[in-house]
Amino acid sequence: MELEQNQACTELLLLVIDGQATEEQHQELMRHLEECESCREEYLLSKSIKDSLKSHIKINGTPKDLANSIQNKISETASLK
Amino acid sequence: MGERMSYENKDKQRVFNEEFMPHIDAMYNFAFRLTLDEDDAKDLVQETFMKAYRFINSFETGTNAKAWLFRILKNSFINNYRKKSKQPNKVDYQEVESYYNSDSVNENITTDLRVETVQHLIGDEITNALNSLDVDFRTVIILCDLEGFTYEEMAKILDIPIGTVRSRLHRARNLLKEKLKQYASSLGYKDKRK
Ligand SMILES: [Zn+2]
Repeated sequence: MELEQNQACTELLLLVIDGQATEEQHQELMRHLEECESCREEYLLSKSIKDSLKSHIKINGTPKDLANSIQNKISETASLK
Repeated sequence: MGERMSYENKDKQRVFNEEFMPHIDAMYNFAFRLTLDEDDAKDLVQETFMKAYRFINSFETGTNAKAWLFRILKNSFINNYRKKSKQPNKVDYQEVESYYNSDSVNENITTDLRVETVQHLIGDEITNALNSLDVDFRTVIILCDLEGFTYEEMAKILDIPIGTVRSRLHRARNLLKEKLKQYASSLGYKDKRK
């Protein structure tokens, strides 16, 4: 495959995966994926990594006292003025 | 910079509580992903909120408070923590620099990583792979994939052009793929291709 074309594919692919493609761009990619196996694999892999990040990254809960201590500091600051 | 209203004290607290405080969890998570330390993350969030209050007049009600707060947090992080962390050696640094100075998104590193392999990885493995990336690469992945900011919002948060956001994100993902692949093979997942 021509390099130039490949580069355009990659850019389009990223836009679609990140939800920032127009409807037209989206359809353009979908048409291309039907006929280009390497882009199709790349698309599925990138999407599965993004999905895994979203669903599997461990979230450390915000410490319970943090919101309170911020509110207290703000009230102190506000009453000083 | 447009002309800003200046808030009365009671409006300040209202804006603070209504527009800023709801983002505390996302802020803490971002801070923790950057510092990888609970106490540092707490301090960073606290400092960010204090700054947000102090500079509240430069915030326009109705604009994207979350992006505004993330930008303050990112700047505080750079000022406080990055100076402390050890300097990378010269080769690493140059490598990273040349990564940043390129605006192209055309390099495809083919890693042979398989979709099924990714789906087998669990939270710890993905978290560790992400944490092992250089903080700048980690940051773009957090902002884009975890927080869902647009490229344009990311450009504002990071003070870099959109083209750089996209190329950095692309490179960050390639590095992450590489890490995930190393992880997968160290854990004994086999590539199914002959
Ligand atoms: Zn293609």
